[in-house]
Amino acid sequence: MKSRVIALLLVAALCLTALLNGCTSKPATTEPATTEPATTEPATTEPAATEPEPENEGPVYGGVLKVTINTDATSLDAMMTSSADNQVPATHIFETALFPDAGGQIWPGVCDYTFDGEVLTLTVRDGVTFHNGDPVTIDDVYASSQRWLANVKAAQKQIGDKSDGFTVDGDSIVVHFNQPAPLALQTLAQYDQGLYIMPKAICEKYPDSDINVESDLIGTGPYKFVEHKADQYVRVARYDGYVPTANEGATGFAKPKMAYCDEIYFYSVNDKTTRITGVQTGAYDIGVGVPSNMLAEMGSDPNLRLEFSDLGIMACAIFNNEKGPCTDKNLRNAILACLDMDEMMLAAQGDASLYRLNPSYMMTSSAWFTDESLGKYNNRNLDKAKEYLAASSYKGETLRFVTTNAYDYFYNTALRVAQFAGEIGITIDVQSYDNATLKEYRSNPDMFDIFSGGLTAKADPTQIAFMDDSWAGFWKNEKKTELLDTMSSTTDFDTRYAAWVDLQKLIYEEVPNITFGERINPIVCRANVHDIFETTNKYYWNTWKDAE
Amino acid sequence: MVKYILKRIISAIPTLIIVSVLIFALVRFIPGSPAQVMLGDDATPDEIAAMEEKLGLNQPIVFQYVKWMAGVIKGDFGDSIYYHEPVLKIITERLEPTWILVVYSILIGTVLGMFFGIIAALYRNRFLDKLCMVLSILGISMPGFWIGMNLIILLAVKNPIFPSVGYMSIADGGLSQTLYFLTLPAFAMGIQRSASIARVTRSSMLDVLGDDYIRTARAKGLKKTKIVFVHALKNAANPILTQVGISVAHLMGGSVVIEKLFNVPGIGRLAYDSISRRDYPAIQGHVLFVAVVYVVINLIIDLLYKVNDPRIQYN
Repeated sequence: MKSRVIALLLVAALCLTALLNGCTSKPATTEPATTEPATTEPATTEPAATEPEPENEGPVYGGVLKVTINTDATSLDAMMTSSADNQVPATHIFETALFPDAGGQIWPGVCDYTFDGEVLTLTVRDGVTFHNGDPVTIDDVYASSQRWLANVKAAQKQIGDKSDGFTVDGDSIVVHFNQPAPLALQTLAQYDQGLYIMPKAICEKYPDSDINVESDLIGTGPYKFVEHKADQYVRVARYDGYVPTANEGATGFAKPKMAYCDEIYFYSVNDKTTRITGVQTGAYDIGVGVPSNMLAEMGSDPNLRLEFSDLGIMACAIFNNEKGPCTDKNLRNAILACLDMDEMMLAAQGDASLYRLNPSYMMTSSAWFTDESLGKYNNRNLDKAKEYLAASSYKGETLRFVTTNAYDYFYNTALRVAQFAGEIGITIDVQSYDNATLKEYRSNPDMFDIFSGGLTAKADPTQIAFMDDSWAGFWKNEKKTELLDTMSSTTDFDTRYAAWVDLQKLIYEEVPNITFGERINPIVCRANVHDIFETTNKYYWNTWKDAE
Repeated sequence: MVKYILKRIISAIPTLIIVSVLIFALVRFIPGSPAQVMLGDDATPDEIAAMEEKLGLNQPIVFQYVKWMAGVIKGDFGDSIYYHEPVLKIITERLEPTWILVVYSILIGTVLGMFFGIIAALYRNRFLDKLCMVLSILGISMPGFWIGMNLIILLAVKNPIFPSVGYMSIADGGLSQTLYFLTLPAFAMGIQRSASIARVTRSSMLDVLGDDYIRTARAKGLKKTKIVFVHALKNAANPILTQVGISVAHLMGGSVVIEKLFNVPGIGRLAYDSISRRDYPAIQGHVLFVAVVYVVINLIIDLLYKVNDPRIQYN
């Protein structure tokens, strides 16, 4: 009797709140109760000429999309912020002058353009307006360009230093280049701190600081800012006056932006298990980064769908090229010769579906991809490794491999490298710290011999982090500088590509770092969600949900 | 009474100063630069140095401390490096979910803990006593996040009764929605705290149940419930009150993991994120805030002693 009473009390306490809320079979979400049901008609008052007729099986307009970002968006100023979690919602509000497609080709964006290699001309695309209803003028583009040049290092380097700057010429902006600028268009169009177009008044109000008043978040994007609840979400709503581009056949960011969902919530969820559980329970529609041990469970749930997208991140070990035993390239080669890259990437990703072997620092899908590795990548040969080791100055010192278990793939690959290197007598002490400590230690040549890295593949190889001599790892090499100069001094792709292939050969000759392979990102969506992003950067303006 | 309160407040000042010095120094001694975290993986040493200069992190630590304390005295805890907003603002913005979660958890913990504690005391050395004490040991042994994960699996994923993540403020959805979102995290925290409350309740009740006045009450033929809840529990309440007070303070500072697990946007999650980002002003503000909460709760508990037992005199 007593135990029954106790059990009843426990159950009653648990159910009390549920009953108070009219306990439904589906968990509540934080979306407002006023959400309109999905319809097959766009809510826009002026549908764009290029909008496709919604079909029964095709995209439908309406609904609220709930997606996740890793941390709270602290700035939605797309031009100023370099944080990916800020950029995801910010790029729905603001747009760049030009758009890059998934392959890196440049298309019209807020502006139409012409470029002959020496003169770049930008004109405002017809019908583009800001979220306050004002049409975008060439003065807005000019003001944005000035703010951009003043605050974004890449803008100054790729355009400011190579031209006379932006000048207004009637209804156009003209840039006269005085030296080859192979990355000019990419820099203008890039997701990460590209030339985002903002009203002139806003540029003048915030000449050198982030936009910090929410009512000033006035862009041209397919969604307009609605609200930001600290540590909860950023909410955007479809901008009815948006006119998509006519970029027929374009992919990625350059594909016409249709804004199918009425609203998008970007929830900040920094724990990946919480993120994925939230998709399982319907609190979110899309969760990025499914842990490998949850893949089977997600795959067997009929309410969910797994998708795999390129992450554009290479799992790497980066040597201390300035100080300590790893300045000896024979030792670095010895470690490379020990490694079985399939084993390394399995350790990194936990499942064979979540990686791609890739000897390069550019993605396999990139025009820059080359598999040139002088036969060293994934060519495990312990005899050769021992030869390299014998030729090195290594005398049994313990190498410090600094890593973090904030990222599983960092820690797991560090352990695997230590195991492989141990087979030929190299002693590696894996030291795991939190991420902030790792970042500090790797910048100090006295604090490490090897560190874990996740090198992001860029649109252009010259932009990869370790190409900068002062970046952690401190790889300085005259031939590297020469090849980078060659790549910067011409706009001819074939010449640049040849230089990049030579540079990759040099990397495998010197082995300043070792890349294990390319990571693939598992994404879980609710089954009623379709057409998610197709680039390494995330966007949701062409994602749609089944009509309810 | 007023004199006593003033005395306690004044005596708390040195404690808070010591806490401020310790936290200020400790966060700067741990490796990791906020500038480096802010600038991301591709930042070069020059860019990091420039950012550190902009943030004033290259100034002497004593100068930084004096400057910060001068602000604190005026109610300005500095600006968060990450949010670019006053620390006091970002803490107050996140206070609602944490406070409600703590109160909700302590209610659950106290009800469950006292219930099991009283049962155990009434059935001393019998099966129910042993069962309750085994359960309390289990409760103390199970980490809150583990309880939370199991609650998510059981009551959000397998049986979708409660939401697994998120929060809805009172302004947005009313108190019932807020409590609905916080039920699982509150149980995860409350179950653990109930264990220690149950043990204290049991021992405190056992102390008074053998007293003469209880025997007299029984002899007078009073109902058992009246004896337990009116006569015994009231006299056993002060140690329980102490335990509840400690639990409130503990939950206030210890909600970090649970808030992260359930994605509750409270000050616990703020603390976790701030430590990861080395957001010095936010960490300092949070720790100082929790220290003040400890001091205030201790004071309130001490004052409640007298409410419960008028014989207590404050000197």
